[in-house]
Amino acid sequence: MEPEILIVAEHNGSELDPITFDLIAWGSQIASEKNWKVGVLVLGFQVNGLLETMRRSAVDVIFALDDPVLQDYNSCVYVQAVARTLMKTAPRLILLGHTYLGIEISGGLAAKLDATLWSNCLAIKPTPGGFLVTRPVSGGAFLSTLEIESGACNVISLQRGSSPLKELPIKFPEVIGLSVPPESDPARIKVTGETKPSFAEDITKADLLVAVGRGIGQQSRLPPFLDLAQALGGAIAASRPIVDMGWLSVDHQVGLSGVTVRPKVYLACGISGSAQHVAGMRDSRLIIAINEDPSAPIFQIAHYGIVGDIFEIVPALINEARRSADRQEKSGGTTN
Amino acid sequence: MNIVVCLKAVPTNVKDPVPKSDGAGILTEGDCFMNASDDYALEQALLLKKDFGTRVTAVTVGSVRSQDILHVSLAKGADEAIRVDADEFDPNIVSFILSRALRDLSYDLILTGVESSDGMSSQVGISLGAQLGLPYVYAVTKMAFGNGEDRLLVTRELGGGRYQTLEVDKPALLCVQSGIAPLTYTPPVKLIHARRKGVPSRSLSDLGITGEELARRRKTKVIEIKPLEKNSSTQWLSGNPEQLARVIIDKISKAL
Repeated sequence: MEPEILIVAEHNGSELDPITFDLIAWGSQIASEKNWKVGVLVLGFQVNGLLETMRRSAVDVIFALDDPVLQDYNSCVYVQAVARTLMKTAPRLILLGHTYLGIEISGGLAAKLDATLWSNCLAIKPTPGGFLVTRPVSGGAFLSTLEIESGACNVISLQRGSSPLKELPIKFPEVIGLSVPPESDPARIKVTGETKPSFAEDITKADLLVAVGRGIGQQSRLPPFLDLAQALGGAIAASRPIVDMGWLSVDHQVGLSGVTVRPKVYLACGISGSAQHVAGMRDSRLIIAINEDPSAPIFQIAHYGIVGDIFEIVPALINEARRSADRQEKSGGTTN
Repeated sequence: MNIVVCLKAVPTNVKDPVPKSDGAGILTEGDCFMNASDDYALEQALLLKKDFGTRVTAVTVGSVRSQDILHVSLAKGADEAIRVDADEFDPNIVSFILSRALRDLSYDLILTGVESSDGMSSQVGISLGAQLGLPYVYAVTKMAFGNGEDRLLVTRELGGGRYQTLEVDKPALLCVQSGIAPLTYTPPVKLIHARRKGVPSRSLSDLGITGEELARRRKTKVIEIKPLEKNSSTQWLSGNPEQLARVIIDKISKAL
């Protein structure tokens, strides 16, 4: 079978990354409009368990590339392996996740195929002459719609959580095993290890996080936020730029490249809400955002939004939090 | 050893962007600054210059509006800066132009940032490396030379808190993650000097790119730009700081 849409599955060796199901949902939707078939390519070593999960998905065929050389992710090896698969399947559209791996594989494939690549998309719609894609621009404050002319093959990567459909038909696809041809050109990248950094402070355990972003402006303006976190009995968290500038250590970083948190309360102060940050905190139970810019993307996911100057609101919050703590202590004292 | 660092000037405080009439990009107004992520690529290149005496060349593809980031790169310590005079939005086209511009340069290493704040595609670096046939690594958080200066020892993010260590052959293209090196101050006197001296620009025809070739590669049209729709389920709170504080603390107390 030669499916017109090929999805490159993403996984960590033992579990499929949920973004794979976003891609399958988009693949199914486009396929039903165009009367196309959808294939998914699973690359790795000892991927049988993953294939079992995929057997109950809405794709027409699964291609499995199972080989010890694919045990560790290596862009040189992976791009070459996917490209060889394409010689067999010749899809019209390749879908990948806009992830660290997807960014490398999509760029490598597009160059090999001389195909047009559009990354970081939120939606795709097929048109008679190609595709319409929606993607963020200007820090995510605006959405652009692009009309892409269809080429022999187009490569599109999609954002995490962009799935259009919830319920998909189960198709019990057949699995076609493919082999990885021996490397003609020895890989110019060698994987020497994989690590997980150890964190001194575990903010994932805090019930309340006061999170600061670029909006605080200067390191010298950090102390009130530390005071607020303390007054509320929570911990301090930060978006990437704050950690990059060395104002807080990496164990405070929330987002795709930091930790994922689900506290009872997430108070976002001066955080614009980039996709990479939001991915790490969107499941917080109560999100309150304070930002000067009413169009900041953080307000898309906030339960409560305050447009204002954090430096005016935070001192008032500290006072109120302390008063509230005092009141609780006093009322606790009388009942005891 | 030679390093090429690819930089992009991005508009800040974008208010009302609109598609260009031919759909080939987005019209914005206001000043352009160095893309935050590229600033780190420049700093990393300058750190290598300090340690190894590397020659650093800064390159950008952009209109005159973007040339000041090259003045900044020279003021910070780059040895040379080149602006390719083209105003392109499509990363497929920008990476192609860069690949042509770099064909005439000698390099052991190409550094870029991970994402531009305006286009948000994270695409140009990897596409450039792939078009030049180089090994490429995205989201590099640490780098050093190993085996003399033959190989690059690289740490990179894989996402979800996972990191990978790699040995990469030179020449290579690395997209450096923000935070890789501390940002340094731009000496004002050097900046004035760099602005006075100016930077050379090369036209697309200097690079052997014809209008037909560019037209053939133009496969995308921007047809609409709109502000992110407001989430109707967000409840907006207003009042003076004291009133807001009482409401917020009340919401927080109830949620804990």
